[in-house]
Amino acid sequence: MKSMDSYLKLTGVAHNSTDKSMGGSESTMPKKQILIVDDDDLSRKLISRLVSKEFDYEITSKANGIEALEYARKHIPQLIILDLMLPGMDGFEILKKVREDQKFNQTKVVLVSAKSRSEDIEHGFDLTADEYITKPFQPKEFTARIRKLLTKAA
Amino acid sequence: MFDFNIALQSLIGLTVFLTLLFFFLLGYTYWTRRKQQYWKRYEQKFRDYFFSILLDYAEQSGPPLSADDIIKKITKRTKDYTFFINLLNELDDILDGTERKRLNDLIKHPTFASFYRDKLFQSSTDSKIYACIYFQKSTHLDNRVLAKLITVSKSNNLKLAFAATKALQSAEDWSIRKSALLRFFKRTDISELMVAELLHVFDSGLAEERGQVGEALKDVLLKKIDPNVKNIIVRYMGYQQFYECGEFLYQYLKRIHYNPEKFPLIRGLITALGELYHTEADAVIKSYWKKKKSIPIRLASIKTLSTFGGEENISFLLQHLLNAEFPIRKAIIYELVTEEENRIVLLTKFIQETLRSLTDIDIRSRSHEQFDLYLDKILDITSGIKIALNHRLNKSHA
Repeated sequence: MKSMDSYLKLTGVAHNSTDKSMGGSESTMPKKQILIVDDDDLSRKLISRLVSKEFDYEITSKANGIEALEYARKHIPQLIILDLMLPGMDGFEILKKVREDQKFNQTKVVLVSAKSRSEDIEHGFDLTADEYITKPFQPKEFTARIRKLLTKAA
Repeated sequence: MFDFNIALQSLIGLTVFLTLLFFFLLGYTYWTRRKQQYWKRYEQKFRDYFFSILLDYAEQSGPPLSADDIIKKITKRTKDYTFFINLLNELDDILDGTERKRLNDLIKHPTFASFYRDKLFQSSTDSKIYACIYFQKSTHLDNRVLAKLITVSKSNNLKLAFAATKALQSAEDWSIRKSALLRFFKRTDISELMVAELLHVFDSGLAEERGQVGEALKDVLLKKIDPNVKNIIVRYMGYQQFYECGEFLYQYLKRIHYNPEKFPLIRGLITALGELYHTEADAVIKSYWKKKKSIPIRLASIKTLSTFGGEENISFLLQHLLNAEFPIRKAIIYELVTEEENRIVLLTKFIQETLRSLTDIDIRSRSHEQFDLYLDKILDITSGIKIALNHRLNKSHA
């Protein structure tokens, strides 16, 4: 244990690092929200980082489909960035439920997936996804697409 | 003579021994778990730390850091290098463009290359596997490494052979990649999942390599390998839409020797031809339907004929609606109801004609059982249509 602690001290890693929310929320006005749903920890963190650097939104990330839907119903985010392969409930199913619910009229949904088959993209758009981004993606293109959607929503 | 004292002493000795063994195993389990948890926590912290550094480096957004500066931050522990390379590989799978290129350059850094070259030549299997994972991402394989990877890919250890075969896919020489693939497919101990994964590694997805990949897969299909492996290859070609291989797969299906061992391959070929929209294959598919009564083959045929569409194919499916087994009937109804609008019209017409023919039947010429059976089938079809229509309705509401 000692070697790890000394290593972490040396490299300056905080012991209580968390990736739950990367957006600041100190102002009293509730910030607009972006919800990131991805079971892969690294993808979640990467997308959070890209989005938080570019947009002044409160960012929340979830790893589980059911939890994400519950959270979305309570907080009605402006944008949901949704991975297709999720435990509990897959991305298509969440998108379907979001589209059925009147509360999410103003919510934009972006599907992100490693799947790049035309059928999946088609199915995503059939279920009225606002955007479909496949991995691997270029960070600049990714943020540009999100910006376009958020501008439209505004 | 039975000596009670000796027996008692032996019993006590055995009890003490078993108690000590129990506590030793308990302690050992506790220690290994703690160690495992420790490395898990360590890896997490390690990843958290290098995540930002690597992204800053890839995006060139943070303080200017060179590849050497980053590598200096890693201790020379084997695990640290492994964690670092794993993180790099994972980021490499998500990012594209210049960011990916910078990460790739970091993977190919001479420090890592020489470290993993040494690992490859060590006797430990784990070290070799770590090295193979590294060389899978590193495109600069020198002759010595290539020769060693080829030797390792022939290993009896399946895991090691699989890792080496994947690593060989980064070789620049196309023939090395193809022979490694074929060598692995000829093994008898591989799983279907391994075949699929290897195909994804073999096919880089680059447009300029697509023709070569298609040709190589066609060659592999002509070799003597397990039909189940061939089935996965064929499905891959369909799934990845190798349209240029459609004619080859069609000819392959025409010439295949029909035996139960090849059922999955025939089914795979029919599915792939549907995905490739090779409509010329409809006659062969229909002949398979008529010749043999395999349900999985017929289910694949329904999907493919439905994808091809056209009045002739749809009429063929309708003809078999009444006398087919339940799963076949269900699949036909689903394809007719949930796809194009005009198919419902054809289906309705078919039901009306069948009902009309019922009135013309001379009831006396048929037994009651036969008549009831006929009616049951019609009822069954109408219930199926009702269910499929609900599905269609739900789909359109989504």
